[in-house]
Amino acid sequence: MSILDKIEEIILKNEKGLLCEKGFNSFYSQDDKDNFWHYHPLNKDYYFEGNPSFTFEYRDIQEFVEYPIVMLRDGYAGLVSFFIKNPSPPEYLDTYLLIPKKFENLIPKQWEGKVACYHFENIKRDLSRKNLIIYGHGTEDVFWKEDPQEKLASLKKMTDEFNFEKTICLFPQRESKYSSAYEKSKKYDLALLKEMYRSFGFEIQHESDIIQFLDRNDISDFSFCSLDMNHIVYYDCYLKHKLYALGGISIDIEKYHISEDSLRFSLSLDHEVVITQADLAKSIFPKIFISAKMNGFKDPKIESIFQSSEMKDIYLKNFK
Amino acid sequence: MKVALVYSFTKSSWFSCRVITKNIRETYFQLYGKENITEISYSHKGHVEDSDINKIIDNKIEKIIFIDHKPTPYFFLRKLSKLDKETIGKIEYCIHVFGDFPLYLLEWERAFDILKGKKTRFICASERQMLFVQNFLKQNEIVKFNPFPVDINRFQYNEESNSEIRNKLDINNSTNVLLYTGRFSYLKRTTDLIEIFLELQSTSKIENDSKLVLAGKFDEIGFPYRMQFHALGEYFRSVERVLAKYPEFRDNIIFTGEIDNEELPKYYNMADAFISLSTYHDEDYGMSIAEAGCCGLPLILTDWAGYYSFQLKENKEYCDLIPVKLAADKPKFCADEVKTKIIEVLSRGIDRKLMAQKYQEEFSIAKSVENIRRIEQQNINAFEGGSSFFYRLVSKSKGTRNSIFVDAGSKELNKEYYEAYNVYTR
Repeated sequence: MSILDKIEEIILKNEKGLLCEKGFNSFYSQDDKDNFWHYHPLNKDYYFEGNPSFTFEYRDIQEFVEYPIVMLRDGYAGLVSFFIKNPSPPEYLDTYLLIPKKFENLIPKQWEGKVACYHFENIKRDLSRKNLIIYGHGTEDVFWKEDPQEKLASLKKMTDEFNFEKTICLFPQRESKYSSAYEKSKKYDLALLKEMYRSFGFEIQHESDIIQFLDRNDISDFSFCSLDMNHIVYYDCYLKHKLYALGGISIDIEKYHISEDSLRFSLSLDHEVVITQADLAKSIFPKIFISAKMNGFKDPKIESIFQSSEMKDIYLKNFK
Repeated sequence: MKVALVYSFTKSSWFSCRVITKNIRETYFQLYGKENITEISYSHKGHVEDSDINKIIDNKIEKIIFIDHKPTPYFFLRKLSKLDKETIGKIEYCIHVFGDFPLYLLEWERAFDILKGKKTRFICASERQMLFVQNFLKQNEIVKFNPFPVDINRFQYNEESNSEIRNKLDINNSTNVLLYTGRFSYLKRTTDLIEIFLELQSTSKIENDSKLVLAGKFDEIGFPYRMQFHALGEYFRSVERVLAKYPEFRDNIIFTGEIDNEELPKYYNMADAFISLSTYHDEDYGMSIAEAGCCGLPLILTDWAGYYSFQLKENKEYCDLIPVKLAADKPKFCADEVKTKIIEVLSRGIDRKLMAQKYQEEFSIAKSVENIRRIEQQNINAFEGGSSFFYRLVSKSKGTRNSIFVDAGSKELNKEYYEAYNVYTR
């Protein structure tokens, strides 16, 4: 029985280990709680039998044993932090981990047989050309590859292809919580707003309260994309699922060559999670582990990974 | 008579409520004439401008009518009560009650305090909701009912539009189609509906190419009375699990997503029957059902709450009701009875044009004008406040963070639930 068969069986059985029974979004430190609310609602919970959750919701890896599957929603920093702490799975662990396909090469080889990868795809439907919603926070991580001016210009270029009638930006103003004092002083959130108007013009609709906007429920016939394509802090964002549930279609879908035995589970009428075998042949984890040890990360926190120039370099070299 | 219509000028996030408020507004325009009506914006968050409140005095308003689903009239009345007491004491108050009445008991309590002694009338959308609300008030005679009206210029029988939507959905003209429009939700019983339909197909009780068309969106409401809240996607996955049991028939379940309002009449005309198995706790009415009826679409409904009013006394064959019983976890109905009704309705030939005519007579704006005129001819009494049952529930909601309708220990629906909702079943 392959790992995918086992995962399929667990998900279809849906008998035990659902995170919602534990209570979603639990926290074990005040820092985690503060960071969570800072990024809210991007990190809000949603339902899938694979237990989508963040590493900070578990006290430590021992707590994973209660769940047959854990689908980690963390981005680069959270996954690096997790694997440095757990370079190999403990013997007692029967849990299968689902890791974002994008970060497949972060998985240590010792985890072989315990991990699979996931990503999201549209269930075929035409994109709406009427409205475009762009969502995200203007925080440092979003601009690791491009500064706000470049980022918005490239986003504009990408969306111009589709010729949308109207663009709505859901950009709440938040400071970069994980950043160093120096990076915080750059005020990326303000720079984002400035560049938003510069690139998209003043006809753009700007919304700063995402929850209120979604509750108004007055948007229909729309496509959407995320501002954050780097996925440093979070990979699996609640808003993506919410906007699909409201009837939108994502235009920023990652494309992978995947085998026919992949598993597909619909999460709404318009999108599905695709679970594939993990290919650990190209793992860059040893490089990360050595760098972490050389930099003295004994108990690497997400914040330390985030602020480490070595970890940022590894990201920029390996995730184009 | 000088009348003020109070509602939010900002559109509600609930589509059906937008339509309802628009049609009630039209009813009053026809009843009193536009020139006698002052429209006042009362936002969904309870805000009203001072200048708008002053219009009540300036325009010598004699009657204030609340026609929106939220909030309760409390915030408006609180502001109004700061004006000259003698003037506002002479005004009549008419409150159109929507489905979420028991969710805001504390606000209603304060509203009742202000309304005491003033001429007040409550208008519900269905007979059973009238009985439900009467249970919460001291006087029965001040609660009346008038169905939310339908714009029959839009919703009417039209045989020609049949094939347009069927072509779009790739359904043959000869294929039987059951239609549901509305939210897909735990208490709307969407999973039950799908499972019953698929069981009928898998046992060859209905044609194996028959379709169940579901138009709407999934919600996360769950069952708040039992403190069961769903996460995003949770109910969708429940539906997926049902569909996975019948892989060979799952293509016969068609989810259209939310459909354009302009297309709604075409969907009602395209289908062979409308079905809703909802046991939602505040199913006071069903705007989509009234609209479907006006298009001559046979109805299969649970005999629950406001749905009962859709069975016309003289033409019961147009609307089949499935008995519902209250139970400790949620209202119950018998799946076999639903199956029997589906088979019967799909094989029963009715004159749809005649059915449309009957429903239009009953649910049109013109009929609504007539109903309200009749209600207004009756004596209006000074309001005496809530019933002892109402105040018992109010004090319970002040003392608990849990739902007032659930037993804290067993998590089962409690005796107050039975007392309140008993009138929703036969």
